[in-house]
Amino acid sequence: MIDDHNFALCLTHDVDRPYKTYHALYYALRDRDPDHLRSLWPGTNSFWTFDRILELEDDLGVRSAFYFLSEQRLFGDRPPREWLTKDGWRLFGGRYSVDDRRIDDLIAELDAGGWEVGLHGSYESPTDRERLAAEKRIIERVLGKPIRGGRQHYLNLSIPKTWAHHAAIGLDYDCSLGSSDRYGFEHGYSVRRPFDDEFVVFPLTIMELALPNVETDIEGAWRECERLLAEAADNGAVMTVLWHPRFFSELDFPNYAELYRRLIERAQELGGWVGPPGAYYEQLDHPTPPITPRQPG
Amino acid sequence: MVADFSDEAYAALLDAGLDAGYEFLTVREYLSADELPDRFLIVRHDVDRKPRNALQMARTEAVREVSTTYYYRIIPKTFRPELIRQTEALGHEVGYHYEDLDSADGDIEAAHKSFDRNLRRFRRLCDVDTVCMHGNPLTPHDNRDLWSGGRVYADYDLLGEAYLSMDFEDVTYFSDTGRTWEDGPLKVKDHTMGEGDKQVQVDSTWELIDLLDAGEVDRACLLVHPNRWAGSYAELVAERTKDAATNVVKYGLQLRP
Repeated sequence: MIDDHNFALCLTHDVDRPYKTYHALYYALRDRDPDHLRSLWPGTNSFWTFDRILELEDDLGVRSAFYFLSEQRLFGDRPPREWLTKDGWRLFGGRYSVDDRRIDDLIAELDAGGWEVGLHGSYESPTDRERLAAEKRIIERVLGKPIRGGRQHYLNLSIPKTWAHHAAIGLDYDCSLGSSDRYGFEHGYSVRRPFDDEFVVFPLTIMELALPNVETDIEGAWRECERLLAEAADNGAVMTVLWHPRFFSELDFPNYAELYRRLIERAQELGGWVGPPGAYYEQLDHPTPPITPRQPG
Repeated sequence: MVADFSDEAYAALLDAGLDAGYEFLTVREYLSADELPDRFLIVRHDVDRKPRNALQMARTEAVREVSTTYYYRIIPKTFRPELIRQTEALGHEVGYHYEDLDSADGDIEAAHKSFDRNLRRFRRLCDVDTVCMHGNPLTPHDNRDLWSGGRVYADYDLLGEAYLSMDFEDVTYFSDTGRTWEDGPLKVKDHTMGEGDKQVQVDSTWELIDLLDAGEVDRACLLVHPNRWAGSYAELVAERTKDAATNVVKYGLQLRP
């Protein structure tokens, strides 16, 4: 474990949909709440929560990792038969480009402030090394330096092929091993080394979506988080959490930001190391690289 | 003939200052100096818009080894992290061009919270030791009133404020607000505080250059808005038109009962 810390809490954010567009109408109908429609006014966008996240983490003296997508456009890159399908909109609607000025500025601000910027491999990429490599290059071009790791969109993994691709394109770690509907240390307390070399997998302990009834019973959800933190501390674990940026919108996802704050504060109280996976990786002792090259997946 | 308020005119102004033997100081250097040089110029840039113009000016200065001070507003159009970092990397001072009292509609407590948050955001990008208020002629507030309560600059680990901390009895102030260096009704909120009656007035940059050549002022502070200085004829025409329209509004504000 790092320095004098008895466990680690790695903080990550997948940047999926930073603009609330068609979601406003969907949520307004689903919740029967016209407040959601306010996001359609120019200059308002409740999914753009980055200022809040940076301020919250800065207040607590911690940094995290933000993973960015470079994915295909629904109209333009995807076949017309997908344009009117639910999956087409779910997977590709509301896409952003890392070349958008706001995203470009955000990446520069994150990097300057000490946050980690990484790759959120697109839905189509887990078994496509060339695509993964191209997406990595795009993010690195905007960032202006190499990236260290990331997570696959929808936690899509083809084990061990995706990790072999990650390692082959020069990534040091991946955080995709986990579930969107279960939380806990199902994949162990430590980082994993699928190839017994320097490539590391950080199992996902909590995705915020998996926690029960956060909006209606924050104390119940907090008890689960606190239990996992205690388990991490007792077992010298590396605990990795994923909070999507839109979950910091109190209008859309009440209580999630508060829960995230409590997680960090409690981890600090328990003596845990808190930070982004890239910084944790840097402090690990790694095995000597194998003499024979790794077989491609 | 070089047009006034063009990149060439600005370069000529810098060269005139250097040729006349003025030392260029940043606001940080001015406020932290134990002893000031006999002759100096402080060039202050308020980046209200067009941050790329600011970076161009920063480069024009850097090749002359001149360091100046850039105050950026935190609005999305000017808070461009990469451009701000590049400005600092060229050897210039960067500060926060605050307007928190305006954004908090006069609520001092809310304004301080916002100021603290925004200053921290700047400091994650670069070293910030001084700040400078942004004057919006259309709001009823003067952002300098942020300091009218009990808070002092040291509370924010700041050396000072560009309008309030400088001795304008000693340092003569020239501003390009309204696309003229002459004081008058166009400088609605862009004026120094307290005493400091100005003995000299100039209108064009060429007159200002003559003043420096003649050594008529030993210590001066120049406010240069990068967005007012154009790199092309088309930009110059566009900016002049915009300024002319703004000036009509400002004259109108002066005529209000």
